[in-house]
Amino acid sequence: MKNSDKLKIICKYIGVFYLFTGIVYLFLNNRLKDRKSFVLQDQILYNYKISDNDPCTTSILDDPQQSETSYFKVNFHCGINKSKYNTFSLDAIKNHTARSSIDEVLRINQIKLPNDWSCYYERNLITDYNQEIVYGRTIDCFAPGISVADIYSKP
Amino acid sequence: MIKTIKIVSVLIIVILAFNLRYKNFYEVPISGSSMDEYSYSWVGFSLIKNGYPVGLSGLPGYKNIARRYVNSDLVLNKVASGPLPLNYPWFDHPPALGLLTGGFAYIKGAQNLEDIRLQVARQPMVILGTLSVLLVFILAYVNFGYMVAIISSAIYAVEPMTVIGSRMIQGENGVIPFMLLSLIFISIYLKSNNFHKLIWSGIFAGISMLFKLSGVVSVIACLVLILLLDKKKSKLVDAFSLVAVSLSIASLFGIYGLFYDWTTFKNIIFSNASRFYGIGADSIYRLLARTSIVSNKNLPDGWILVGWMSIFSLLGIKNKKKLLIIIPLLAYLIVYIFFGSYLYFWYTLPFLPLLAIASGYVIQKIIIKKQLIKGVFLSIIPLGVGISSIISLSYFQVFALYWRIILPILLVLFFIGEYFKNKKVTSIGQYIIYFCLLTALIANSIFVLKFGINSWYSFSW
Repeated sequence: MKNSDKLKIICKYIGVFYLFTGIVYLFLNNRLKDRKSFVLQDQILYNYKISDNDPCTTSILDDPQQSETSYFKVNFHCGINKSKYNTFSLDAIKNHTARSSIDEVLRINQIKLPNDWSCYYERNLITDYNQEIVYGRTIDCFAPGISVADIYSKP
Repeated sequence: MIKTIKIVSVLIIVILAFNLRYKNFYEVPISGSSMDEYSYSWVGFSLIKNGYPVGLSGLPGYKNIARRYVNSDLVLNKVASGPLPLNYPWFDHPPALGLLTGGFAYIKGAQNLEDIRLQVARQPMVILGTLSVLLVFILAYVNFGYMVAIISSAIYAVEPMTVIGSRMIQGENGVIPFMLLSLIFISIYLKSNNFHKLIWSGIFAGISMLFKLSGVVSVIACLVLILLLDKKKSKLVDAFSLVAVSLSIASLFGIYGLFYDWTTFKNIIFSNASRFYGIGADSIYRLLARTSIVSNKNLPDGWILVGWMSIFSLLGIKNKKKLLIIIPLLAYLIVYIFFGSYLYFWYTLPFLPLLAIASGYVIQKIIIKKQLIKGVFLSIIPLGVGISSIISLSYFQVFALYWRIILPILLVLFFIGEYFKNKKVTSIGQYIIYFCLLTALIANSIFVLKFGINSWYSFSW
């Protein structure tokens, strides 16, 4: 094959390729007009699945070293010797309230908290779940029959 | 009849390759070994579902960053990672691999990023890995004949690092089949002078860059091969044609960047260039000696060392065809050293098919030329590693006496046979080498089949 024929083939190929690419670009440009204003919504990320009803089956293996100042703890105490400790970063949630932090840990672990459990923020019973929480603090949730003293008075 | 046996042999190797890759494919490597696996799939999935690429990065240069706990496979309950840095639009790598794995997850019913499980997303990788075994056969067959092709593809089908590494959703596993395809077509082109084969080579080289930019190895290798092996006067036009075709396809990544956010795209490309050079000055030593798939998880694989020994051996063989292996390997070595960021095993994956072909070529030459001493060294490495991977050291003591006696006897016998050119000894030696290699391959297959999640935690080598 002559060089001129080869170059003709290449020119044709590139012409057709970029024509096709251009058509696809324009089509997608029209189809995805609002891409510049894309917002990362929770529905894109999470499935809100519940895999277990026992809050003490699993826990987040976060590294407080990495989260440093932003970390927060939510612990679940199912029995005197059965607890799960979760450390996570508050940077990951929008509202820094007791409700949203507990919900976030439940969502991450894909677990459910029974209604009869009671939760304490820094060992004070939470009565208003919309109360603001602060970095570095802890929420403890207890199964019925377990109290703060049962866990924290242990040697 | 012989043709049928040949075809059946290839089929057996491909079926074996598929089964080894499929067995425990979502358990090993364990989820969370590399969060890249999720990131690639998330990018492809979000592109298809939401028309926007969302993935993990952490590279400086992104405008949009959200730190979130996306707990696919409950991975965050197994790996301490903190909130994941999600960036969008994500430009760390081209999106072809993500479109494949994330697209597959989408077809299988995933609704959001957290829904994407490795059990689903890794399935296309099993297919790509198996396809690569077939392509290793074809590349070796086109250039070196049937026996080399069978040995090479058998090694590539069963060696533990390849089997387990090929399951991972990493760009290199997308680069490999397209690099092999481009090399197959350039080999056919160099033989047949059919210009359309050259174009196909360029197309596949370009596609390999859409999986990861290190796929540029395909373009460099084919270009150098044309310049060195093409005897025609028109080789400059051929070289230009190859580059024009491959770069036109690779330019799709740039167009993709333009489509979403050109400024961020540029930032990330430059940010990639200034990444931490984590492979260090000892990268070549580690490349040759290391068999860990993730940190501290070594796998028994003697074939990699055999592959590198074969490469050194190939350098001394006068055969221009060897360049079809040496050039791509050197090209990827340059890419590896130049772009090297961290000592991740998957960065070395594109070496493995080339090493397998080099091993196949050298082993076949050794057997034909009856170079028994070389043969013993090359076969005893994978044999010993293979045996020690399936038999514990304490249990091996039962056979230790035989090993102590038989191995030195063989070495002496083979030396005598080779030195005095004793036909009887050399022909027995050939069979013994075949037997050792076959036993090594069987041991590797048994190891991989038994290597599930429990072995991942308990096995040490």
